[in-house]
Amino acid sequence: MLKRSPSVGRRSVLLGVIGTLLVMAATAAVANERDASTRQALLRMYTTAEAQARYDAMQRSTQPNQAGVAMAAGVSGLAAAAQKRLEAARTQDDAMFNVVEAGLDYPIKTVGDRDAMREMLDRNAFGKSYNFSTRRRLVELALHARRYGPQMFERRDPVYAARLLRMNAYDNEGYGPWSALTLAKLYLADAQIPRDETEAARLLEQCAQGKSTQLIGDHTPDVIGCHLLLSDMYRNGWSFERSAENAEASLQSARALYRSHFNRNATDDQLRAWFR
Amino acid sequence: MNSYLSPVPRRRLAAMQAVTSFANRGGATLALCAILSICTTAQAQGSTTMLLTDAFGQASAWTQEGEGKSAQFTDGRVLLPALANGNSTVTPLSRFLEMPPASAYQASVRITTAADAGDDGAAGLTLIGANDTQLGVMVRPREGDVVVIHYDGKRRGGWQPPLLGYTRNAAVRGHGQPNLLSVSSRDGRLYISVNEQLVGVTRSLDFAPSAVGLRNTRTAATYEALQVQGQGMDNRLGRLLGLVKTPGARVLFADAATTTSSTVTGLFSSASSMFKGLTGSSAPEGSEAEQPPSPSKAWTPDSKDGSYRRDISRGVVVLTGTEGDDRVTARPNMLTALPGAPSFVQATIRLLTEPQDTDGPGIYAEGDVFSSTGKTRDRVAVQLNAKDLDLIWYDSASNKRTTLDSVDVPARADKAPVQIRLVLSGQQAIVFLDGRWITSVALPRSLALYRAGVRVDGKTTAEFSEFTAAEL
Repeated sequence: MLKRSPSVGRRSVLLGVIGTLLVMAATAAVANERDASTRQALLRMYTTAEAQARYDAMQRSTQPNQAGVAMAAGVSGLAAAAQKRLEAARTQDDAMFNVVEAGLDYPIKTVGDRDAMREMLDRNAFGKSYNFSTRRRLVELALHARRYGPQMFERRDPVYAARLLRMNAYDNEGYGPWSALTLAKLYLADAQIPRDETEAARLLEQCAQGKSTQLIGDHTPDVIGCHLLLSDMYRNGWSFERSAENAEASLQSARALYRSHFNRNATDDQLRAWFR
Repeated sequence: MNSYLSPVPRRRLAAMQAVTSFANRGGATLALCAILSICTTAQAQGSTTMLLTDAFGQASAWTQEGEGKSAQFTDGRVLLPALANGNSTVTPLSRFLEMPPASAYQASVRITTAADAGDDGAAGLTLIGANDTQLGVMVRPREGDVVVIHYDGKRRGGWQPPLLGYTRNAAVRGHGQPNLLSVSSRDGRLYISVNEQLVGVTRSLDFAPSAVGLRNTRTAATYEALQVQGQGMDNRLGRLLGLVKTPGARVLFADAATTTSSTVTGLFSSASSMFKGLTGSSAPEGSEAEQPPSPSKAWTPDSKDGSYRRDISRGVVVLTGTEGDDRVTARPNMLTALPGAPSFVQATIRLLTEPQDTDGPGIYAEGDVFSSTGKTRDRVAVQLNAKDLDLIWYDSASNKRTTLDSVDVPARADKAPVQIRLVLSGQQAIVFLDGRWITSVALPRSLALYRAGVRVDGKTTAEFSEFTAAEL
């Protein structure tokens, strides 16, 4: 029987080790790529479907009341005349405010448009005339997550966005799930924000409880988003111990919430595309 | 004396001081700080540090109460009889835990309950906070489950619902067999393992133990090989202490041009970088690009009683109170925090004359409280009395003062400085003493930090330095 020399044995061991390392490196690279792509996906603020759903909801809620129209037109005409005067008196500021509150984009074509929009947003996002929609729009524009973001903020500014988001992500009185969800996304995925899985988990757990003190708007889509992101965190082992069971439980909560709120079913992929 | 390095209940102090006798010697505090800084550096790199190993060779290392007095320490183990009253709040054996600030940790012990024990026999580890909050991680061998019981030091009525309900796991062995119980804290949560298998995880807590204890009910139990290891920085506590960067956080006022405090240094560096990041963008309410007021011009005394002195060269404010209920306060001209954003107020206090019983120096934060009836400006104060630390709420509408929490603190060295940090987050107030968590209390309402300052209650003189207020 042939005896292998010690050097051959050493070589085969060395080759084995190198092979194992290569396999491990390849596996790690795949895992990293998956992790990175998941994180990139988190940065999507809206999908077309979700934007459409929000627009439809807005249209439904702003349809004029038929009885009111009849009264205004038919009884004396006074109300209609007053309405006309009001229309005529509307300034660009009013138009911008209404467009923002309705969730639509006001076209920013000139420097004047930009300055007027910024002035309107700053005035209504803080203090006495606080309005959540305008604060939210500032965040979206700062993150370049709306159409005219680059016109309003030359450079994307997630730090400024995070500061605004903290006002509604932690406060008991002014709490809003959208702010918590968006801030959690920044903590998890934004290159300019120090990664903080713990704080993201804390924000999402609170959000998933469904509490909201924002009086205007439907927050269910944001709470569904929190459940979906929590599910991802469990699946990827971000902040929590990796747990397929908890990931599935969060996903189930998202499904149940969608079913009870929209009265229909959706696949998990659809839920992720619409709400995360 | 102990100089606030071990904020633990007074009744445990005697044994703890025996264990930490090094702190009584001159210069020992510096040595301890040096050791701690090494630990902190090591922990920041995620390494493991042994904080406590106990082979139960020394009964004197333990504080013994109730059944603990009849515990038998032999051959590297301790046999502890069952608590006569299962609902007792007493932890029979406890031992001081020198935990570095914002540390994550793992505590483990091997437990063997009596072979002939019956139903509901439980044994486990207790984690004891400075405010006498106790978390008991208990194994029930007969039932094969684990429960985390919660006693809150009578602040909300004592016993609270369990943090983790009875959670069954096949890894739990029966009576008479050893179970290795392990509790890990990470990012504010407790991870419970039995025989190296994860059994359950609690919700996120604002809690850090200053002592570890042993407790068993309806069965005697033998304990072996107690170990506590530091495991890097706890992200949650680190965030509250300013060691973790908060994007967009802004310094509202800082009275220290130079400081040796790692906590404050960490805060300044993170806050200033955030501030720099913000100056490129337009400012909400026109205040974002505004710099905090210069410390040399900012301070004003806020009450007529007592006396106020400002030493700009040393960056200190000295307040002297008068006898009676009068309070002397001073506050800097500071920026206002964005409503809803977490924030903190911090100062280093040095007593120049010892206060009487309920008198003492402290810091306060005042904020807008919004309600359906309008806006009021309420105040929360942390006061360091002669023997304890009080968290006090002042309701401006009813002009009523309520003590929300009172925590025993160890005696301190004469004129030794102590750093108090009050964190406001939503409706929660969290207090740190020398960088160590000491209590978390729910406020009647959440405060949007408007202004803050220092105060002295009663007849005493105190020097305040390194006053800082910032968003967090």
